[in-house]
Amino acid sequence: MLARIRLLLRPTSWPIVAAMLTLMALGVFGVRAAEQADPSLSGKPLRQAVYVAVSLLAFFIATTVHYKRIGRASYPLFAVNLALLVLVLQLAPIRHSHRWINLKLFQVQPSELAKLTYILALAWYLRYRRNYRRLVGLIPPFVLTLIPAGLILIEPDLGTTLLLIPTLFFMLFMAGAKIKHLLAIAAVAAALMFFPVPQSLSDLGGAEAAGSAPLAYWRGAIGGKEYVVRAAPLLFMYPRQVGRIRGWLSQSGAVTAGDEAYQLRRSKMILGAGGLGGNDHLEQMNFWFWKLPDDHTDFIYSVIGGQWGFLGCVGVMLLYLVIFVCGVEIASLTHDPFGRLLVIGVLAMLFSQIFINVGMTMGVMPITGMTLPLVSYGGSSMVVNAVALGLLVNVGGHRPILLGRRPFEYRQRHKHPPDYERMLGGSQTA
Amino acid sequence: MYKRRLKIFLILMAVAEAVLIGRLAQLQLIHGELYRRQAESLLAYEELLPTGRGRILDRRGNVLAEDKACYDFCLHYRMLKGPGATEADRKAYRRWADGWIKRIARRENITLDRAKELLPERMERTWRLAETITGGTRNEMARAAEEIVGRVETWRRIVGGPVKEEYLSHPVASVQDEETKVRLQGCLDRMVGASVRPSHRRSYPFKELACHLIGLLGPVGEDELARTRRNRSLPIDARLGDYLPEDRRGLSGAEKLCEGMLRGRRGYRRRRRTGEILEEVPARTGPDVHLTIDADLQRALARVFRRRPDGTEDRQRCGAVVVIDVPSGEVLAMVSQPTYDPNEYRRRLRALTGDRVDLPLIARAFAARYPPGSTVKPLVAVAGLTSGVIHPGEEIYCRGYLLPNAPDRFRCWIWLQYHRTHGPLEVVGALEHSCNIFFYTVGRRLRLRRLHDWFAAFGFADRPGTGLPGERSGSLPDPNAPHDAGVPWHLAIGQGPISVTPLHVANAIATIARGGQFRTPVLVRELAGRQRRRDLKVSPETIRLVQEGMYRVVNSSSGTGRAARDYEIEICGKTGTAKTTPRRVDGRIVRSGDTAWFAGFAPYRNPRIAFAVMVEYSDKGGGPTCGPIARQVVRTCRDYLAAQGAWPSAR
Repeated sequence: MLARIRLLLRPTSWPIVAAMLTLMALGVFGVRAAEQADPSLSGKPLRQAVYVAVSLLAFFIATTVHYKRIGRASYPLFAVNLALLVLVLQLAPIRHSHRWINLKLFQVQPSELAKLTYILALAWYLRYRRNYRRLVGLIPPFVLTLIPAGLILIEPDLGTTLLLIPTLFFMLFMAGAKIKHLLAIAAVAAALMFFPVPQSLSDLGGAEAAGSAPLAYWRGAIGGKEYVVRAAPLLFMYPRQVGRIRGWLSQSGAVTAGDEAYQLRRSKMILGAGGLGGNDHLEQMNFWFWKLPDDHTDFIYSVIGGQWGFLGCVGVMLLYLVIFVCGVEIASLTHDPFGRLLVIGVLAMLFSQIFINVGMTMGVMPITGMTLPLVSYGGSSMVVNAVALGLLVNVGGHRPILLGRRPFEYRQRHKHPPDYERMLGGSQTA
Repeated sequence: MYKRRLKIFLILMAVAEAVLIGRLAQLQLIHGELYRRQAESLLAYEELLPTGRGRILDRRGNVLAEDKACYDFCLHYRMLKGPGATEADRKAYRRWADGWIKRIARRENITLDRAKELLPERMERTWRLAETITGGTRNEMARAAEEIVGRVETWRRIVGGPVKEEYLSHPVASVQDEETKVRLQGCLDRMVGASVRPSHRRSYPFKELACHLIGLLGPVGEDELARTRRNRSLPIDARLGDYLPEDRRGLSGAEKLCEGMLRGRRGYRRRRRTGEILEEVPARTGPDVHLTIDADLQRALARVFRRRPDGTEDRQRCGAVVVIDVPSGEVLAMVSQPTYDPNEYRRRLRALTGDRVDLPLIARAFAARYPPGSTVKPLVAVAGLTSGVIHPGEEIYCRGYLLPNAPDRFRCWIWLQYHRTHGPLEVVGALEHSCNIFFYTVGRRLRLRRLHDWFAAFGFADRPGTGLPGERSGSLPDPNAPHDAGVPWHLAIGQGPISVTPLHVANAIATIARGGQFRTPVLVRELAGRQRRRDLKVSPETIRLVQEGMYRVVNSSSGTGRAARDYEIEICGKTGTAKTTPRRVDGRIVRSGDTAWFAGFAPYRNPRIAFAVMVEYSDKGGGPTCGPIARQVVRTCRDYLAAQGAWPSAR
C-alpha cells in the first residue's frame, strides 16, 4: 500500500495524476453546465462522476500489477478483444452502428478497449525484434494493425480506425524502423488515399450521385454517360462521411452546405466567441440554446473555449502537455523496451486523439467522432484512458532490474556521460 | 538513437500543439469579436408586433369602416389541402394525419388501427360541427379553404421552398359573439385539426351607405409578397411595412387610396431566448381617415334619389347624385345606386359579380361614363363667350334644324318634339330653352380643337382628382386625329364621342358656380393638399350671363328645368337628356333609354353647393326625371347646411 502511494508520489507520476484529476473534474463540470442549458441531458453529470470513480479505480489497479505481467498477457487480451469486436458486429445495431455491447447497467465499447490491447500487443511483439529494420519485417506489425482496424472500420467507426495508424507509425518509429521505409509507406498510403478512380454516375443511385459531385476531381460526359473521377476511399465511404469531408473542406466558403458544415460552424462560433477570457456562465448558457450537437461528448472543447476563452483552452492544452512531458520523461528513463514501447504507444494514441478532437472543433480536421480523452462524457473511453495513464505510471515506477545498481545514480537522473550512453545504447535494443 | 528519436517525437508533438494553439489564437483572439457577434445575433430573435388598421370616418366622425374584434375558427393547413398532388405534399399530409391518428387513439382510448379508420369520419364531423355552430355554410368554408390553399401556394412559389404557413392553422369561418365561441371551444376535442383564436375583421356600421367610396379589403397580391421576399435580407426595422401573406389590403375605394396610412406599421421586439427583451419598437396603429362626405346627408340623398314625385319608391332606379361644396371643392355626398352591403360582400360575392344587368359593384358616380348631353351647354357657352366666337347680346336664329338643306339632321329638340322653332335666341335664352341649334353653331365656330381644350380645362379629359382608384377620366375625341366635320357640333350639345362621369359634370358646374375657378374635388380630408387649382380666366360678365341662363332654366315658366323649381331656394341648373347606347348582356338588350341629367348649383346668389343628378336609362327626359330629384337634393342639402349655419341667408 505504502509502496503504491510512493509510486504515485514520484516526480514523474504525481503530475500525471494531478493533470488527470483536473481534466476529469473539468469534464464533470462541463457536462453539468451543458445539462443546465439542455434538460435532456439530465442525469449525465452524475453518471459522469460515476465513470470518474470507476476510472480512478481502474487507474489504481493498472498501477498495481507489474506491467511486465500485463505484457505477458497481452496476446491473450488482444485475442479476447478481437473476439469481442467480432461479437459486437453480430449484435443488433444501436443508433445504426455496431459499436456497443449492451449490458444491463452500462455499455461496453470494444473499439475503445481495442486501443489499449492493440498497444499492448504491438509493444509486446516489437520488444525484442530486430527484423523490422527491413521492409519485409514491417509486414507483421501491419497485419497486426489491419485486423482490428478492419473490424472497427466495419462497425462503422472511422475515427478510432484512424487512430491506430499514427500509433503504429510512432511505435515503429521509436522501435527503430528505418525512416525511409516509414516515409515510403506513408507516401504509398497517401497516394492510395488520393488515387483517382473513375465512376459512372449512372451506376450510382440518385442521392449518392448528388453527394459525389463536389468531391470529384473531374466530372464530365463521355459518350453520353456521365463520369466522375474521385479519390478511391470515397467509393467506400458512407454519404454522411463524404458530407463531413465536404463540409470541412468548404468551411470558410460563403455558401456552405447546410447540415454538413452546421456542426463545424457552430463549434467555431462558440469557440471563437470565447475570446480571451471566455464568457460568463449565463451568457454561455444562452449560447447553448443554439445547441451544439454532441456538445457534451465530441465537442466539449468548444464548450471549454466558450466558457473560459483562449486562456482556458491553452490551460487544457497545458494539462495534456504535462502528461506528455511526464510520459516522455518516463520513456526516456526506462530502459525496458516493452516499457518504452508501451509508453510511446500510449502517448501516441493519446496525442492523436487529442489532436483529432481539438482539430475537429476548430476546423483543422474533418469531423470524425473522436472524444476528448478524460474530459468528454463517456464511460468506456474514460476508463480506457485512465488505464492507459495507469500503465504510464506503472512503467514509470518500475525500473528494469539490473544486476547492480547503476553507478552515478546519485547524480541527476537525466544526464549520463556520453560514453556511458553509448555503452547502454549498444547492449540493449534501442 | 532512441533518445534522438524520442526528441524528434517530442518535437513533432510540440509542433502539432503549436499548430492547434495558432488556430485557437486565430479563432479566439483575431476573429473572436466576429464570432461573438455571430453568436449574439443567433441568440436573439425578433418577433413582429401586430398592428391595427385605421378607421374610415365621415366628416363629422361617424365610423364608416372599422376593425371589430371577433374570433376565427381555424383549421390546419393540411386538413384544408388534403393529400395533395406531389409526393412531398402527400408525405407531409401523412405525417400530419399520423399525428392526429395518435391523438384520436389517445383521446378515445382505442387502437391506432381503429383510429386510422375513424380519421375520415372525424374530419367530416369537424366540418359538420363547424357548420352548425358557426353558422357558415359548407360551401363558404370550402371556398375560404380554396382561397387559403391558393394563397399559401403562391407564397410558396415566390419563396421557392416550404413555408411556415404550411404548418399553421388558417381561419375558415368567423365567429362574432362570445357565446358561440365558447360553444365552439367546447367542441374542439371532438374535432380534428381545429382551433379558435381571437382576430378582427372589418365592419361597416352604415352597411351599404357609401360602399363604393369606402371600398373593400382583400388578400395581399403577388407583387406585394414578392417585395416582401426581396426585402427579407434587410434589417427588421426596414421591413416593418412589408406585407405578410396573411395580411389584407384595400382593393378599392378609400381603403385602397389610403392603404399606406390605414394599415399602420408593425412593431418589433428583439429578445433573447431567456425572455429578456433587448429592444422594442411598438406597433403604430393606422390613423383614422376622414372622408369629406356626411353620412346623414348621404343617407338622406340616397333615399331622395329613389323617390318618385308621388312619394313612392322606385327600387330599380340606377344612377348617381354628386354634391360638391363650392367654396372648398369638397365632396359632400356621392351617392351611387345600386349598392351592396360590404359586410355581406364575401357571402354574396358570386351573386354580386354575376349580376351583369345592374352591375352593383360599379359606382355610377365616378366609375361609369355617360354622354353628358345638354349639361355641357353652360360650359360651351363659357367657351364660346370667352373665345369670342359669340358676343353677349348676339342672337342666333333657331329654325329647328341647323343645315338649311338638311332638315333631318342636327335638329333642335323643339323641332323634334313639337315641330316648332325657338326663333332668335341669345345665350341666356339658349340656355334657358336648351336650344341645340345655338350650340351647334357655337361648336361649329369653335371647332374641335378649341372645344376639346375647353372641355379639358373643365376637367373632362382627366380623372376628376379625388384619388379613388376606380375613378375614370372622361373620354373626349382626339383633336389631332382625323374626324368628321360634325363631331364638334355634336360635342357642343354633349352627344357624340364624349362620355364623362357624374362627378365630372358636378365639378364642371362647380367651376362655373365659382366664377371660373377650377378645383379638383376632394374626397379625403387628409389628402386635401393634393387639390389642383386652375383659373380659367373667365370674365365676370360671362359668368353672370351663364349663371343667369341657368337660373332661368329652373325658375322661368318655360325653362326646361322647371320641375326643379323651389319657392324657397333659388336653384340654378341645366337639364340633359342624352341618347345612350343600350346595355347588352350576351348580345341581348337588357337596359335601354336615355341618360337623364340635372346638374346645377344653389343658391343663385353666393352659390354654396354644386350638384349633378343622373338617372341611367330613363324613359323620360332630364327635366321630368331628374328635376324633382334635384329639387329634393337641394332642399335636403339646404336643411343640412342651414342647421350648421352654413347656408347663405337670402338677400
